[in-house]
Amino acid sequence: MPERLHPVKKSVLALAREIPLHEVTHLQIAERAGVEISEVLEHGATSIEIAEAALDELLAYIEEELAVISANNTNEFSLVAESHRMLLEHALDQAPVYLSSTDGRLWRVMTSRVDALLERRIEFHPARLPFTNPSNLEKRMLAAYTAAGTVAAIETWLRSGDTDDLDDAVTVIFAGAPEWLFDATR
Amino acid sequence: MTNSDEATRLSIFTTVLEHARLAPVDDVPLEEIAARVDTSVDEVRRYGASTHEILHIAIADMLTALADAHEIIVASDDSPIAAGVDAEVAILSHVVEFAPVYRAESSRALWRTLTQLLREHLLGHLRADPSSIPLSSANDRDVQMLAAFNAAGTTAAMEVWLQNENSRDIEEAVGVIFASTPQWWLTPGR
Repeated sequence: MPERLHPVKKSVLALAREIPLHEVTHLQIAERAGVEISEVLEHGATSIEIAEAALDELLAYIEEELAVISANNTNEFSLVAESHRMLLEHALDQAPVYLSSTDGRLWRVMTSRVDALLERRIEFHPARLPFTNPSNLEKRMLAAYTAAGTVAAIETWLRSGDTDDLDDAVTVIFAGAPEWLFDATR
Repeated sequence: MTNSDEATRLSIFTTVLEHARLAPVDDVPLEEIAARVDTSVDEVRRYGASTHEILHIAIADMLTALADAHEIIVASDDSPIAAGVDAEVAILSHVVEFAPVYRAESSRALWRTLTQLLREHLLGHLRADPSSIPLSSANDRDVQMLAAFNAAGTTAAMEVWLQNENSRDIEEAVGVIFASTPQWWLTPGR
């Protein structure tokens, strides 16, 4: 786990490996992090809110890593495969947290991040889109489909328990996405 | 359940659904539903602890009926594209009919129910005929991932579409969802 993650956020993610996330109290977080309860409350009103913020920050670090990798690699397909692999590794690493999400709330943190990435990709490659002059609504729908689909596939993969082969899972995620999105010839 | 019970249940569900077509029902008390149906609050409470809960049960019933109806369409239609269009138009028509409910902040559970039903439906089709899956060897986990991808993607695109107050053209929305869907879903088994 990145050192720069705040001790309160680290503590919530660590406690979720020991007890169900919704049962984690502010007192437990404060004791684990070595801070006052008032400081815990600055990070969120509930353990789930703090976990959401922690996961969002971890996903932001993944984006930073991807930006560094992409500076040295122009093969788009391998970059997207790498981003899928990093999301799968992250989900596996934080499995106790994500699997505690019974209402899909924590998965929506990942969906938001992937959605924003896809919206940028769609803006950057207008020639790939299956329509000419798509409206903003159409572009948002196209991004939303692949973002929610990708994350649902990752959740299904994680819940299956059959998580040894990341490359295999990456191949399945590519198969679920529209072909035009990664068509570098357009 | 007796015929009388069934008639009361139907009246309660119909009243709640009629209300939901016009506005969110979260603040509608059970007393108001009871008065409209001309029954007791205790009787209404048998079907849910709140109007919101009754609405979710009623809509889940409708979605199950939609899925069953689509099974009949698929069984009588050789074209997966035509069957897919029929299904998506039916789902979007349902979502538009209950737009105030699906637009409400409290609709998260309903969208999940919709996604889950669609996922089960797609999973059944892929398991019955996996020949169109573009993977050299797909195990059941892969099939589940692909069904989950399509179902979650479809309902997410619908949700974005519905959030736009000017969204009216269902056929156009289906066109965007189909453009988002990989083509192998829309081609007959190989």
